[in-house]
Amino acid sequence: MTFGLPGVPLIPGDHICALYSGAHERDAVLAPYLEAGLVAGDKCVCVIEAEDQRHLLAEVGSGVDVETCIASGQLELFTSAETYLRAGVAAFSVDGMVDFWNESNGAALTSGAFDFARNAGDTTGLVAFAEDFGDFATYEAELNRMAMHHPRSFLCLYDVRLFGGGIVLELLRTHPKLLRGGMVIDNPHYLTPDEYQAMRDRSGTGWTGLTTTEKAVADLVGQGLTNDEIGDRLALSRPLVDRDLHRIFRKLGVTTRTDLVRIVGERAREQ
Amino acid sequence: MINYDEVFSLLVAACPSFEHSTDSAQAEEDEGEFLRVGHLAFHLIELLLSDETDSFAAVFGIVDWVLAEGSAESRMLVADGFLHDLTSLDRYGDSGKLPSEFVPWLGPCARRELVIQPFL
Repeated sequence: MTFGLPGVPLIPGDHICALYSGAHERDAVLAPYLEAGLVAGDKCVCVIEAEDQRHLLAEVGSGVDVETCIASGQLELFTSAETYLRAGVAAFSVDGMVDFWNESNGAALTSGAFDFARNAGDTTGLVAFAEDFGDFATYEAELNRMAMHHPRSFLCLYDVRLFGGGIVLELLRTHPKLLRGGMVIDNPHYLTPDEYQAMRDRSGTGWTGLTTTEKAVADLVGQGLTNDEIGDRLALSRPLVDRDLHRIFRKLGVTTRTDLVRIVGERAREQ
Repeated sequence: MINYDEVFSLLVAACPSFEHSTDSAQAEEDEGEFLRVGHLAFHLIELLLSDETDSFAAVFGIVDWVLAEGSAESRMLVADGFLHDLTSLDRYGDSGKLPSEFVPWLGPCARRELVIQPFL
């Protein structure tokens, strides 16, 4: 399987970070990646702002009829407002994005129409989060876990002109592979999701590793609400509350609800 | 269609020893189905470490059945809850065993879910 650049392979489960400077550099990586997938018959999903889509599609090689690919559903394009920010322009949701990829890829792969899902996400629409990248870094770490499920790959694109050095460090910690100089290289700074979580736990508290929704669920557990009551309060289904509670337990290393109530209470007293 | 709230009882029925285990005592219904199936996964790890694998074929038969015919929430519960917790390396301690020891019992759907997990 090829990435689309000369001599660069693509392996199921790949989660690759590409740093670029300007749309031209971005499309020089993104267009061949998508083109190779379309030629191979892969499901291709790409998040890119609406104003950049026309230029990107023009860069995809002449051997591919992109309009037909879009019409057939093989290629889907989304904006950040439809994906990263679909919970609201001021709220990035880790769970929302995990659900988005699972729904999109899961439907395509389980239908039998596709054997592989090739995903890409440009992040220029997330520049508003440059000051507080915590949840997005958590999402990038969780993508490594997600990539293990289903045959698929993720290419994450960051314009280095928009994001500072601190964020680049988080990207190094959360991407097992980097695209540099036309080559995909193993990233020596990569931390597995559990290692990354542990690092964040050591540097702050386990609490900082929770998503916004998970924090809300934990707070309500601390107030003594049942899972059904939490679901009603947060407009979440019971399975989603159960899943969030499971993740909270694993991230905080607690084994009982009583332990979680204690931690929430301690946090409330500290604040 | 296998519903979300049926999955745990189906898995437990396939693994009767769970009901008398310490993990079972912690699997309270109020904590939600994900944590309940997680306790069952931890029990299966205990069984693996003690080479008591008689129930594994039945359990992973249920797993594949749910993944093939369960509701979306049921499939999520099995994939993100049960199978995920089978890979909790801290539960294997210094036994020298790894989650990959479960592979021979995995059906095709479970293998597809975990097709490129590092332990496979």
